[in-house]
This record gives sequence, structure tokens and C-alpha cells, in this order.
Amino acid sequence: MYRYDEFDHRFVTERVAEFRSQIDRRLAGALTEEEFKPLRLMNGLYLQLHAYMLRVAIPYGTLSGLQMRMLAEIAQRWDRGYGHFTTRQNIQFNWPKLKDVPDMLDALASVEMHAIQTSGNCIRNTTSDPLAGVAVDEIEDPRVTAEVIRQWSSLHPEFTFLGRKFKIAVTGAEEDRAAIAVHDIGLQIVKNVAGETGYRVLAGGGQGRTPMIAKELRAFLPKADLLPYLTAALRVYNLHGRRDNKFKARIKILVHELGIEEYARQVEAEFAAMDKAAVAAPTDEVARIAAYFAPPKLPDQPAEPEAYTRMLRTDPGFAAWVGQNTHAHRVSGYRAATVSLKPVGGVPGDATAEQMRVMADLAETHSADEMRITHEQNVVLPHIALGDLYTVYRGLRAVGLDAPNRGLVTDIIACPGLDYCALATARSIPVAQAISNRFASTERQAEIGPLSIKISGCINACGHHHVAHIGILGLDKAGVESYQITLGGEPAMGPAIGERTGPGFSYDDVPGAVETIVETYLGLRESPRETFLQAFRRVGMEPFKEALYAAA
Amino acid sequence: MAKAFQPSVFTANDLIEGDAVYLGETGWVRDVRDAAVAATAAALSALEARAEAGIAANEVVGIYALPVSLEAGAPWPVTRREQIKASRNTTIAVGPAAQPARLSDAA
Repeated sequence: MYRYDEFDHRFVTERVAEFRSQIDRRLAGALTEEEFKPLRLMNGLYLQLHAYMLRVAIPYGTLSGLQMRMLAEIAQRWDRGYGHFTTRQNIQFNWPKLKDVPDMLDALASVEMHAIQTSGNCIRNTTSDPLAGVAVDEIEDPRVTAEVIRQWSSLHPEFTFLGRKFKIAVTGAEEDRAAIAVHDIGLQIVKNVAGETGYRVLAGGGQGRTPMIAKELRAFLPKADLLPYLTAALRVYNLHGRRDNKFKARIKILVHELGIEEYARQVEAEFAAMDKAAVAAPTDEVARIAAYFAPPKLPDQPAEPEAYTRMLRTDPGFAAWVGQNTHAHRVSGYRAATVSLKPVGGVPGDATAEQMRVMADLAETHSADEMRITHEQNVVLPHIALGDLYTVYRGLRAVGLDAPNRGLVTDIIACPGLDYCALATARSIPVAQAISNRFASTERQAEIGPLSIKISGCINACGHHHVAHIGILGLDKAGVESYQITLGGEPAMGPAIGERTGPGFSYDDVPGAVETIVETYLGLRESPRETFLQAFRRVGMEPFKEALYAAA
Repeated sequence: MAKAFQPSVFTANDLIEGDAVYLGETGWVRDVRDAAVAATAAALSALEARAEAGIAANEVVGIYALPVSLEAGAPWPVTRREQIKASRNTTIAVGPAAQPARLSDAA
């Protein structure tokens, strides 16, 4: 894992001191709210419906045990004993008091964390593959690139006041687990025909009220050109992106209006004219960063330890969890495990301080002291010896984190929605809970197979509903919640934006509508091997529409 | 025909705590049922002036008016969003020991 150097420590510590002084001045009345708001937002502090909310950056979702333990401490000491992991691989605390925030930030700084640039029209936390450094289909660990981008983009003088926020995602593997096609810029580490490693660059993806799948900006970018090319791409956006209308200010609108060819032409022209050496990351600095992401030294382990195979045979709950929640590891004798933060009927993405501490303990003892937050609002323990898997499973089970549902119908993504968010137009969490309760049976979930449900409580789409197999968007109709349903969205495997079924559903009717959709799928699939997405792509919207609205 | 005036109250968030507050007869209160109700446009303007004074005095942030129903004998918001804000909590149990809010005014 990356460790702060002297500069990083000073940068974060000074920033906390600066924000402490700004809060003091706000409380003393020397700063008005109008003056203070942009300052607090740049430090990740929002004002929500019931309280302030502090969004803490978890760079590319990677956490150590010590860091997770500090998040637990913060939750307990200054919040209400829990935190909410987000689709941006960050964590949000929902109940802090303004006067306590500097102390929370000092606590974060003590474990090399901060909340800088988790809001505002700047380059946000660069997200990545939760199986980075683990996946067998990986060309190179994407977190090296993500960390280079983090350092380059932190307080970047040219890109701190963009037209709108800017999100970059990086994957180093063939299978895209970072949803790069729905980011402002998506980077995929690839090899060219000469066998050199570089980036395939996508631009102009995003969700919100105008969802767009990113388009290819460059098929192959040499690694050394990363920062100059990103600078050129951002510079063209910063110059020509709209500032007159907040809803048309993201890069996706610029790319859409110019066309990817014209946008690419302008980026290439800027790139060609640039002093690349002045912008490129120094080779020795990249090497220094890369060294932090060297694979952990994992002791040799048997490929099939007897105790492990015995428990697989004798404990069906363990077998189900291993089958659904663990992933192949590049090192023989190891697997990565997804800790589902989606217990049946639970709040998607929430973890209590106790659960955080258990995950920290298990990571320290059994996973090379590492965890990853996923954009699906789960946690990955990346390096578990097969012989330790049962111990880990039992540890998770003791605190209700053993749901064997990764990628199944109850692995629901949900934004905080109207229960917390000042921007929301409808609730998300209780809708997720009602659906989760309805599909509680493990056997039924397995029968349904891979199926993503994602819920957003407003058009901003923090719950990624546009790229869900079943997407749910909560809206306000004259003070009453109403929910639109979309089908066929997908972030990665042939990325697509979901299509609306038709008129919306009331709060109480959403779980029934989802059940109708699922039953329709089960009735028309060609075999149990045909997934919901495959079936939808084969038959289209009509059978679902008919099932949903025929009775009306 | 002019639209009938909907009785309204003023809300904001407390500067330090961040929680929901309502403008009462003599100051900011936590319970919407204790809020001062404007029954006319003129009364609403008068409330707004007092609410703005709360901003100037550094007590609250984000003032706005919201329509209320008086059916239960005390003001209660008519939209789902404002009912949740007035309930001062999430509508579901969250965290290790929390209780969900009630959205009716019969709490």
C-alpha cells in the first residue's frame, strides 16, 4: 500500500489546520455561509437534511487495518457508531457536528487519510478495480496509475475550479470491474501489438440526468504520456465545457456536442503542442510509487488444504459463501473474498464500528493487512489463504457480514436517498430493504442468478441506476415519491444505459413490480444459464412491459 | 382565480449541529409543531425577515419556507421530503442502536 512521504504528511496536516481556522472563523461570524460553503465542500463537508455529512476519500478504495480501525473510532466517537461506504469507494459519516470536524480530520490524517476533493468541481477520488493486484486477468496493478493521478490532481492549480466535477477510473484487467465507461475519463491498461504496456483512454461517460457511455479517445497511449495526455484532455474540457448551465457542464455533454472525433482532434492538438516533459510524472517517482504496490509476500500454501475441502463438504453456508463471494487469486492457495455489506433487509453499504473493527482484524491477520472498498458498496479482503477462509467466514458471520449474495438480486446498490440527502427526491434505502426482504431466500437468489438492482433517490444517479439490470429512480411527484424502473443497463460487459419500462410506480408498489420483472425473466429464459441481462437483450422490453402494465 | 395561500412555516439547519430547525414565535425551535405559521403572504414576508435575521446572527443556514397542513391542530409538512426533515431522523433503523422516525404527525 502507498505510504505518505514527508510532503504528503505536511500537505494534509497543513490543510487540516487551515480548515480548522476556517471553521473557527465561520463560528465566530467572520465568514458568511456563502464564503464558507465552497471551503467546506473542498474539504468534503456537506450539509444534508438532518446534519452535516463528511465524505472521506479512500484512494482507489484501498484501506489498511489501521485505517479501517480509525474509521470505526471516528464513527463511534463523533458520529452514531456507523458509516456508509459509497459507490465512489469512499465512506460518508452522516451525523458530525461542525465543531468536531477538525478533530475528525486530524484523526484521519494520523492514519494517512483525508477528505480533500471529495466534493467540488475538481478531480475527485480516482477509482479502481477492487481486485487490483489479485485478478488473474490483470496486466498491471491499476493503483499505481491511480496514485500517480491522485498526486498530480491534488490541488492542481489549473483543475481545481473546473466547470463541474471530474471522475477518473482505472482498470488493469480485461474484465472491467471499475465501470470505466461511465466515468468522465476511463483508463484501461492494455498491451499494444509490440507488447508495450499503455492505456486505452475513454472519455465522456457519466450518469446523472443525461447518461452517456464513454467513447474511445485513444486506442493506445504510451504509459509515459499519461499525465500530459490527461492534462490535454482536461484542458480542452476546461476551456470549452459549458459553465452557463450546471446540468450541461460535465465533459460528457462537450464530447457529445463536439463529437468524439472533434474532441479527440483538439486534445491531440493540445497534446502535440505541450511541453510533455514538464508535465509527465518523473520515472523515478513512478517507480517509487509502484514499489508500494508490489505484491505482498504471501507464504506458500497448499492448493487444496484438507481442512478447507472438508468444511466445504460439511458446512453448506460456507460452501455457498465461497461459491458466491470469493474470487480466483493469481497466487495458488489463495482467494479474494467479497464481504457483503448487503445483509438481507440491511442498509446497503452501511457498516457499524464493530463490523469495521472485525474486518480490520481479519485483514490484519488473514489478508496481508489490506481491504478494498468496491463501487458496489462491498468490501474485499484480497489475499486469504484457503486454509484461513473458514476462520474468516466464521469471523464475518459473527457480526452478520456473511451474506452469500455478491452479484445476486439482494446485492443492491442504493444511494442514501431522502433519508439523508438534501438533493434527493425520494427514499432509496427502504426500497432496497423491501426488495431484499422479498428475495431473502438464498435458494431463490441462486435460482435467479446474476442480477443487479441499483436505486437512486434522484436524477443525479449516485445509485448508478442507469447501468443496472433493474434500475430504480425515485422522483417527487407533487410531494409524493414515485419510482421509474429501467431495464437492461450494464456498466461493463457491453456497457449500456437502461431503458424505461413505462409509467412510474408508487413507493409501496416497487417491490411487487421488481418481483413481476423477475418472474417474467424466470418464465422466459431459455435455460437457467441464460442470465437476466442475456434474456433481456434477446427478448427486449415488450414481455416485461406487458407483465408490468397489462393488468392496469 | 388566484391560488389559495397555503399556510407555511420557515425552516433552516442549525449552524453548529446541522439539524433541522423551525422559526417559532420567539426563536428557532426543533419541533415543527412549535413553528410560527404564516397564514397570509404578508405574514410569510414578516417570517422571512425574521428568518434572515437568524442567518445574520449566525444561528442557522439555508432558510426556506415550506407549506404545512394544520389538520392535526399543529403545523405538519405536506411533502414527503419535509416530513422526513421534520421527523429529525431516517425513516429506517440505522446504525447499532437507532430508532426510525415516524412520518405521521401523531408521533
